[in-house]
Amino acid sequence: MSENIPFFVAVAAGMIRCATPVLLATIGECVTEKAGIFNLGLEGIMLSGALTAVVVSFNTQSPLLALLAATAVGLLLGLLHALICIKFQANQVASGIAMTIFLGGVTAFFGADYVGKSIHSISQIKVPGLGDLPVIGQIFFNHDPLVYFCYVMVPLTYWLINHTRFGLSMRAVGVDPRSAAASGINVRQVRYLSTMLGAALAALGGAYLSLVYAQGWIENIVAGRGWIAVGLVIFATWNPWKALVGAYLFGLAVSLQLRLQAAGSDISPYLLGMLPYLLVIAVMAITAILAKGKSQGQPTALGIPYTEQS
Amino acid sequence: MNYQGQLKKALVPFVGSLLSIGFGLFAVAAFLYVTGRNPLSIYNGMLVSAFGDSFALSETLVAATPIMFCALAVSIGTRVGLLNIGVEGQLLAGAAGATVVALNLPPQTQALPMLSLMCLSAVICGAAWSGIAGVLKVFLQVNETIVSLLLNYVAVLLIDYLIHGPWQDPTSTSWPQTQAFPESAELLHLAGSRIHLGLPIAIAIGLVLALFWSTTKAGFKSRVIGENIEAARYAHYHVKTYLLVAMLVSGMVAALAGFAQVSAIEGRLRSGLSPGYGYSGFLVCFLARHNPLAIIVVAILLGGFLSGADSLQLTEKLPFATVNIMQGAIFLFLLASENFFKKLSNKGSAT
Repeated sequence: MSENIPFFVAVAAGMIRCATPVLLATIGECVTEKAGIFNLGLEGIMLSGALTAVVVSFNTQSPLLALLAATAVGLLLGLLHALICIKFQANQVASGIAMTIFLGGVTAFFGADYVGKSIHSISQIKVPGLGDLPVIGQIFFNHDPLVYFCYVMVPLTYWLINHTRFGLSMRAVGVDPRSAAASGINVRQVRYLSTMLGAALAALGGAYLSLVYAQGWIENIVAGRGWIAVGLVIFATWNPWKALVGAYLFGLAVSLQLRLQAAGSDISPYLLGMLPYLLVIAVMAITAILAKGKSQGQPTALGIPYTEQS
Repeated sequence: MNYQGQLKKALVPFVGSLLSIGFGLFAVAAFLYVTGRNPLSIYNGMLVSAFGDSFALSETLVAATPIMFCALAVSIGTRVGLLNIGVEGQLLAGAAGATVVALNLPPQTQALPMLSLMCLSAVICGAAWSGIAGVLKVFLQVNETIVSLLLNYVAVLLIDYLIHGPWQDPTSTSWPQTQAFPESAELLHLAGSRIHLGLPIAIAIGLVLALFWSTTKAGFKSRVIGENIEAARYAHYHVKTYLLVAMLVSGMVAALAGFAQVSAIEGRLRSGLSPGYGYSGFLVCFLARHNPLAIIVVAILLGGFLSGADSLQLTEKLPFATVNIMQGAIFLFLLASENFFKKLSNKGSAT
């Protein structure tokens, strides 16, 4: 970015980029949790998406193939988590953590060969017309296509959850699976699909981290963003629009921190690095205070394994 | 329920855990084979360097100690239905708490007051760290798992800040670590080995927890809260107090691991203090079915994996990530098979 861009525009444009991976994971988790499945494996799934994208991009020179491969890996890992939670009725929180330990190991193992390798990144595309607007254009419309994909996905998932037949089934399954089953909804199928869809979005978020953000593989590249996404879902009360607000808040904290460091701030980078994590904790606490016990839109069957017989 | 049914109920989960470990090891063997390594020689190497001779065994116990503390810490949470995965961060907070005392007391301080104060400071820091998640959980119903997880990252950054900044060894600014602790800050060792007082302390905590949960009224209430919180509320138990105290004590026990590591093993605070003992502890707690006595045994087994893999890093160039793959695979198999074995053991008790 050139020198004549005002500080706040640079921070705001950075906010969009820093928020994108978390936003993708957060709206994915909104979908998954709406159907009653808690996916704490997000961190590991994002790691897998990130590494897959690097490996495919490095070997094929095609960022598009890299994104497709990351999505496919996300779908598969979502299926794995769903199998453990739905078919085998395991503790969903523990399963997510087990997935993350496992995938953290797998990605570190295979990623070792790709550390420091340069890859084909995704180039920025200025949106015609909008991109030339002063300030707004620089902040919102001078990015890579994945950012624009995110702009589309937020209303799309909102629409999916609230205005489609499948969304209705999802919400029913997330609140009262037995009644949903009684009214003819295939509870398991809806939960499998929602978990896979959510995991695919998270894997894409991971791919964004490695392809665009870091432009390469770094061990543990996700650095807690998966957990942050799970926290932001609570802030967002399972609403993709509010997830957008939460993710941008997170993005702002990261972007500001990076800019301050680049500007040679006296504050230790380690202390600044805590900011995004503390912000998400604070935001979760404030959400809880404001909700005062009655949280809107909560899938009440969240995390409870479903069985036909009581 | 007859005697046989009871035996089956006790044995089936044990067999389930054992099978999960077997499956996990098998999956990793397949993985190693596919990536062009010889799994048999690697497992043999691990076994030898984990349990082969007295030195190997002592190193296994050294690795098992922090895992044991962490797993017991996790079990204190799960007993009342809390999933505290922040033990990793609480371990680091404890390490920092012990360090602040070791660096600031006059070096000629006697060992007993030095170590007691280090331990006290560690425990307070650990409780403060887990207390954040505990208070948010109890008073605002904020998910303790996510808060404590996020705090793990903050703890790592805090340690990094301290050892790159205010606490950095003034005599060697090239290494991000504190200066070495005075001799009086070193925990007692078993002669000729790295086994330290932390191990008997951890075992003692396991025994105390087992007694507490099986013989006291408060222990019984803890179990009720963990299994059916609504029933506990209906019975007018002080549920909030139990949850908060469990979270605080959990943080304290995890902090002891950090205290023991900096005092007995490292002799200073540095980064990379824990290769994920907290997460290993989480796995051990689940493998041991949250039973403190079983945790003691399983922690030693996992300590063997860790120390065995550690030495293979040098001899076989086996990446440390393999340990996490192994732990993750075992954990996934355990969770996937849990329901199956639960049904099996219930079937046994019904007859």
